[in-house]
Amino acid sequence: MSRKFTRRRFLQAGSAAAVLGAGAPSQLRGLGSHSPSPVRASSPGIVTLADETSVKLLAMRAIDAARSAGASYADVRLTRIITERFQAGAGTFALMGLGPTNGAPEDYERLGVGVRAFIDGCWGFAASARWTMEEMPVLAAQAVRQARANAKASPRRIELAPATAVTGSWAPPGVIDPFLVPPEEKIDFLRDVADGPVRKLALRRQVDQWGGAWDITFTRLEWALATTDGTYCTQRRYTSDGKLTALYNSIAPNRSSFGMYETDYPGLVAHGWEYCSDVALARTRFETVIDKHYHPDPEISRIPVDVGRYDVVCSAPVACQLLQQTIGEATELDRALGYEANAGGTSFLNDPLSMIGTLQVGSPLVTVTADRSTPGHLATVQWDDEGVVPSTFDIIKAGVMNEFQTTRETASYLAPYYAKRGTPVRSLGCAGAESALSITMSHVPNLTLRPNSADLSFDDLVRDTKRGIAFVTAGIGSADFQNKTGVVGGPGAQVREIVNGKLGRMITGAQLLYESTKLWKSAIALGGAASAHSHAAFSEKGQPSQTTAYTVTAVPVKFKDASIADATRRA
Amino acid sequence: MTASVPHVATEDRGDGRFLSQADCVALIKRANGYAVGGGGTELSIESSWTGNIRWARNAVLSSGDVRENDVWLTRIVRGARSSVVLNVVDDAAIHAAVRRAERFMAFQTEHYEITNRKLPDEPYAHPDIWSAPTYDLNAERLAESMQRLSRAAVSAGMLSAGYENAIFNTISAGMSRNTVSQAQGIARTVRRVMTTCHSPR
Repeated sequence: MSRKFTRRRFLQAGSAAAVLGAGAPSQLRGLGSHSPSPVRASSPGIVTLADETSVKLLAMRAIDAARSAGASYADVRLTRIITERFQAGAGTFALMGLGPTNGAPEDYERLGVGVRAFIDGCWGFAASARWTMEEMPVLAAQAVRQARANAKASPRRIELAPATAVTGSWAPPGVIDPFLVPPEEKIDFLRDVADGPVRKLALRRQVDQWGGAWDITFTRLEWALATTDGTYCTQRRYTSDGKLTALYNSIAPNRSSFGMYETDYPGLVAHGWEYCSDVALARTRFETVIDKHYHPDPEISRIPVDVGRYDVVCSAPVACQLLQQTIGEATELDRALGYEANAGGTSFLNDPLSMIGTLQVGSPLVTVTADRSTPGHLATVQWDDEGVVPSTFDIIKAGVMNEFQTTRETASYLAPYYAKRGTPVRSLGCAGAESALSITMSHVPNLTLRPNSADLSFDDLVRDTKRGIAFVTAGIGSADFQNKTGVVGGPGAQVREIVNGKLGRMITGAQLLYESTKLWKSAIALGGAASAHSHAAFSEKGQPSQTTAYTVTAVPVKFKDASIADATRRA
Repeated sequence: MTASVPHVATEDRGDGRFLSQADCVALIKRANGYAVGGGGTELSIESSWTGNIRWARNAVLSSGDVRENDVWLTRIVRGARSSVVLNVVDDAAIHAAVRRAERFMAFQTEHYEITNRKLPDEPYAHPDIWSAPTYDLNAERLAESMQRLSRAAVSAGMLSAGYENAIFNTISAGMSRNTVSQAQGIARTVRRVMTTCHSPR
């Protein structure tokens, strides 16, 4: 009977990022200049708080209570996540939002308040959805009680890295809040986008039934953070995630046919209505995917994979997946220390103090940068969930392990390294959480594989390869518990042979089998900035499990003598 | 017709950790009271309290106490359905949710053939899987439990990582039509322990 709508389930269903939303006037005013949505303005308030002052009062009440109860440090986060999902279509199919019938708009809202208390190196945490003055000291007392019990059972000698108190509000510039656009306008727009391209398809195909639909989900996350160090800040960000579908059916006996085409548009991005409402771009994207199916590439002959070592050229999307599977999670310091041994997995970089600054993990061409500041990327914020301004830093610098992803808690583990380098211990700003109902922990920031300064493309890398294999799409990827070894390819992957600098036959069953450091050490050529591709990735960890999104950006990469396995072979 | 809702003392201690069966029935009635335009209002409610502790490298990393609700509120008028999901259950929130569901109803197609659909009238299941000792797993007891669970690994010179949680929840579903309420539900207890041991490196 339970229909708990978790974020993971939402993603599995093929839709967007976080969940939960609906409409009432924002309880976190002062986050921007937009007035409340016409839809939301018509509803009474969802909670009795009406302005930023009230939110701050709640936060300060929790902080004061935690401090009074004995916490050496405490923070409180209040989050509000709202989501609307629309499906609208055009055509003669009246099914699942395709055709003139609209899919039901879906509407979610989740409030959260979470208090984290720190005593003798141990955390306690308490959270609920109740934004009331009475609830704050209850949560604070519970968090302190938890921390005290934990410290008594197993004290840890950890000092939080220092952080400068911050105050202010932040919202991404240039974003149009999709929740300020009336639902009628959104549905009309979605239907309009779907109508033109699929009508053309219907005419060309001379079909009896046709339909097109756009399924799009908008999410707005607002949150306030206060700490016993004097930080008080509020932030807001947006995500949009959409999918276009076209469908036709001919029922005449002599020309019966059926087709269904799907494409992600815009995919999961940290943008608002301004990004999705480009009708020309959306129509072009829709028409492109239909045309691609209407005029498919000429049939390419297929050959089974011949296992062995080859020069391998990976497209930018495949390089994104490799980056995520090898470097992304493995360089989180909490994983490297074994904190995720019972949950999301550890790291092959399991001796951080001896590895940082010295370990060669890639060729000199390989530099991987982390940031939380790129506009439109999913991990971008002004302050992390501990009030730290995130740094932009090189995780891998010219092939050498340069920095781990840290929070105020984990950074202290690297104190001997920072002392040797003569720099202060500091968090790099990787703290985050799914919502205030989950405890703050380290999450992966946006990652970028630095492009080649030369303007090389995927085709250029192929052209420079006499005999090899090209991974055009990644198929199914997986990695071991330490991210030390893994594979990409196999069923669903598009893999082609390379013969004398040209793409040849399709190879079935080919898998790139790698050991992370050996793979990146074998990188001998990278694409230039124009060949870069970005996509959404997810960091899932912790107990209870929580998931956050980040953006990975990479360019095509050529690896020397990489191992190719046969995914179809059975022992 | 009003469904009988047996009061189960073991489940409703009045400490507010999660909604009781009576709270759920009241919530269904409140939602119906805010409805405008006829039809029915369906609610599916999961209300839970979770206590947990997490450790690694033989030391506690964190522990938590989380109270949460998931309410799926659906307005049904002449077979057209519109749903809103929320986790706040105060009057203002429920009122706003009903209004939003009715607002989105304008985009729906009516299906007269399912207008009279209703949930079966069933009593609450008795919570015979209720465990009072688990319900009493507070911060101190969870910390003691962690010490016991990691003791063997510590003695063997290994590192223990683990997680223990206790979840209590009420799951209810019901439909209100005018003053008629129907509800069904179950309360349950889950206690789960997961541990891993590994060498220092």
